[in-house]
Amino acid sequence: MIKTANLKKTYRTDEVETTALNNVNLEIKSGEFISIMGPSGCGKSTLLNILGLLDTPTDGQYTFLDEEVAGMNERQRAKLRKGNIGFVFQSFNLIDELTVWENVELPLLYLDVPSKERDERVEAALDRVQIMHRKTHFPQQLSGGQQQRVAVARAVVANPRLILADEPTGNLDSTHGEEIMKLLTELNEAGTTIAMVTHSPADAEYSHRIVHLFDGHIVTENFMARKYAHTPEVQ
Amino acid sequence: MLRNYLTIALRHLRRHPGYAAINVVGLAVGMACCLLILLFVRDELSYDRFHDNAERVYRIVSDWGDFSVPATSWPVVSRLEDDFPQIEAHARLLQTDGLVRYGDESFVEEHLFAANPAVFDVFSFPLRQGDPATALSRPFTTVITPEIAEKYFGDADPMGQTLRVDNQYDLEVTGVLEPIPAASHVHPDFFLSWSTLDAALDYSEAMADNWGANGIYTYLLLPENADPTTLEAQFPDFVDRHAGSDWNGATLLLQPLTDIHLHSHHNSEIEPNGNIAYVYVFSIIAAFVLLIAGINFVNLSTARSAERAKEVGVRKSMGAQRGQLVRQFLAESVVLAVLALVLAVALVALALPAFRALSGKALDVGVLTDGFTLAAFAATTLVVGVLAGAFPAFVLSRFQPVRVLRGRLRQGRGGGWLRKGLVTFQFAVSVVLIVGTAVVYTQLDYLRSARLGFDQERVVMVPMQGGDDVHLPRYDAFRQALAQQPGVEAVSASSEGLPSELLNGTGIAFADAGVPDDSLQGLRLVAVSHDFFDALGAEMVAGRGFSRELPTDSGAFVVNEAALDLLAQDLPQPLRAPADALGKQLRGWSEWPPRGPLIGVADNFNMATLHESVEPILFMLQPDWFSHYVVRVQPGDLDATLGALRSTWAQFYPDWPFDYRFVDQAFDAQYRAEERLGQIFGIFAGLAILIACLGLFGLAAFTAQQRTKEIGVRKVLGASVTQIVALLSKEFVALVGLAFVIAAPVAYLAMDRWLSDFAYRTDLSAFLFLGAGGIALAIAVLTVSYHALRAALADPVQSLRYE
Repeated sequence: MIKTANLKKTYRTDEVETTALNNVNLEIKSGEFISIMGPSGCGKSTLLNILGLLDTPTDGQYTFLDEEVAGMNERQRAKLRKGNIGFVFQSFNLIDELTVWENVELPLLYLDVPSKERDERVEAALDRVQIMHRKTHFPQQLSGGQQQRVAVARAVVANPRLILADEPTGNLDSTHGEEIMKLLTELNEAGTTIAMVTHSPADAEYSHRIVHLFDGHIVTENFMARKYAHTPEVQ
Repeated sequence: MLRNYLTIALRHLRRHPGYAAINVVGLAVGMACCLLILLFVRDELSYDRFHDNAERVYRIVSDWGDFSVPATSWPVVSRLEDDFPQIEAHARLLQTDGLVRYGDESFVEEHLFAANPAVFDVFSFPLRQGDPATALSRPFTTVITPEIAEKYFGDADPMGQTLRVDNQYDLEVTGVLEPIPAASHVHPDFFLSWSTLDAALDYSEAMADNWGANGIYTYLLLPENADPTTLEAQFPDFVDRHAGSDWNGATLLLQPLTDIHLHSHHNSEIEPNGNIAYVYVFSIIAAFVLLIAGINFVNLSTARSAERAKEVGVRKSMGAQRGQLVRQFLAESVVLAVLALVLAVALVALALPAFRALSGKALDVGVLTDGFTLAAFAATTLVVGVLAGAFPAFVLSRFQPVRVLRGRLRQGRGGGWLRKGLVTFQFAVSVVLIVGTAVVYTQLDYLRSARLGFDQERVVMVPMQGGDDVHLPRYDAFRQALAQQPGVEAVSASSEGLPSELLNGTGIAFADAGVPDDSLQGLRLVAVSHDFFDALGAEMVAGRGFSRELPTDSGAFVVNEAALDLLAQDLPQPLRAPADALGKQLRGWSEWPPRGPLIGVADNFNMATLHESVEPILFMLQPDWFSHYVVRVQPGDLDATLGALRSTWAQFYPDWPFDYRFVDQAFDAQYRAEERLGQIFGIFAGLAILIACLGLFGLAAFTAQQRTKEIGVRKVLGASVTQIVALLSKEFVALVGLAFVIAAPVAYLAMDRWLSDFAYRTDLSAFLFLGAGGIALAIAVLTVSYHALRAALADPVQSLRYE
């Protein structure tokens, strides 16, 4: 599903050039659940953003669903992203002015899904994360764990092939964190590919493989003996 | 999707009521200004367009270069149709006034117009009663307005009734007009048949060769697509053919009917006209007020963009295209504009009565619902919504999701500069308007308090009624009786009611003093009686005024200094002093007036308003020209003195109503246009600065909030409240200062140009500009300091914890 070759990302400010990613070669197969770990500033989030087509690499190749995306413009990337990738953020990033229901409905609106189907799918997604009873609430009326469940519902409502999660439990206590990890595992078991950035070794254990980044390089890749046994279909 | 946009727009506004209020109120006030001005402009532009032939009608103008009247003489008018068969019809109007009596009731009427029957062909003045083809064909007939019918006849049928004019002529009512629209350059109360002039005054015969009396307003109906300049080009030949050397020297021009109201500024206009310059100025100012409100929207939404950035990032990561986000933000600003519109319509409805009084226009609430207004509302809303929303939409939709979602968003330097530039612009406009207001009022004050060259207080003008045959026999006895009354200091008479346009003039020169025959100077002619200069309190520079003791004075002349300066140009150098000119003979063009000695030179004094400089004037004793008694009264019990005037009048003029006005008030009344301009400027200036300050208030709140942590740290490190307030106000003060630097020259040039229309003008003092800048600065500082003070007084621990 995902293949990068010699991926490179540098940031320029007025005086300094910083290298965030350097020659990253990574392959993620369909159905896989990988964790990306590493110290602060090692380039984890940069990698995730490039994988999520939110950012572009400075150099190197990136193939997503057999398409070369490194040279795409914002418009093309947005098109490819739509419906194929769902995001879960550390800080939830729900829109404050929209209700739970409306937040989850948002990706479907941008996909021009007809109204009736939208209702069904939003309801299914909210059921799945067990937050249906809070559908008319606004984000600030919910606990952190509930907000992240809404965010997960929003990430999956469009049935994306890939979910990218950036420290999804970072702002949650351990109980709520565990809930979210179980949700992600269920999604993965149902066939969704997941790439997750995390600081937490416990969370990483839910995945099939851990990629360790250091100073923009992949230093090790560990295949996990999964806690909740499940092997990806390797294509 | 649209519903989603609207939902979020409304919820956003609800969550940020302060922000919403600033934008909605500002935009509403700006839009209300624009809508009112739009109504005003539409009305100004609609003048005389109700005539079916409006595009084909032209008025004749006689132009002498420095002097022009929108009228011409009988010898010209009477030959037009013979010489120019292409003229389909011509309407002629000759204005007069008269005492109109029906039964026991009589009124002095000033809007009587003698008119030929074609007036109903050239113009669209429909008749409610009577036949336009015949209503004005017989002598001694009149067509009146419904108001006049009501005034004289009440509910009775006016047709066939008889009105007596000047206690002399009986006019039969042969028609009643439909009401004449307010947007007309002329509002006759009575049309009286032109043939009445011949029957009563033998007018055609008497005026047959009078090329000099240019009082007939003449309107030509030209064929479809005719070029008026072709006709105009034929006038010189026409004049040559018929008048030859008798011609009065004017160039005959044609003026489109629809240009009269806004573009015609001749002497002797029928009614005071509008001015296209003011239409432009008011439109521009209204647009600027709206622009200032629009800038608030741009500034506040870009300043607060950080708050919206997360949403943009989320939406983009959900798959929103940039175009979709642009549409969303535009929808938001349009929602805001619609809310503003609702408020604006309410404001317009509320302000309409005041605006009606201010503009003198008959605009009622009905204008709010006609098609034009509704279209204007819709267009304004859409334009405001889209223009104000476009830039923020552009900026916000540009955010890269990866940056904003990671909280890396910084206020772009560029946005900051733009914001500063726009604030500067807002205050520059405000300062220009404040200076404008101040200059207009200073000039108004100057006009009202300026010395006219005579003692204008306590001078009463009493218009003489009827013709020469009424007042000439009574003049001396009335004057003497009046002079006996307690409180009356002096009584005289003049051909002019003050202020006057001084429409009479001719060529004058010194006779037999070596002045070439063809060197005549154009002077204004004013007929006065004895004691005129004393009654006004005007000084003599040399010689004396007219004396009752010297019968020879009846053929003598007095000039003012301006006239002597002109006349003396042709004299040898040693004889130019006023004293040397006394006793010399003066002669006139075509030997009229008859030669006579110059007995006095009067100091220059203003008989016209201070828009004009003092004209060169020849004063002469010419009782049959008198139109006003000039009475100087003593200070003290004015009511008693006026009562004495009235009762003396009733004794001598039992059949004529008494009317009077004070000269100083009459001069004041001529400055109404300036007064109106001052008021409108003042209102606009107030609104502009109010809206600009609303924006500043919002920005200050934003800045204070953004710098909460900095303020906390500074306070922990020992900064005082004053220092913090100064820190936060400094930037805005600098912007207002910059605005002043930009505005001052603009205001100077604009107002200097405005003042150049006045012969007598106040100086543009630096004090005035600094005052305006000071006011803007003070208001800005007050506005900003509220938030600055709040931020400075806040507990630093709170702010640091918050961060």
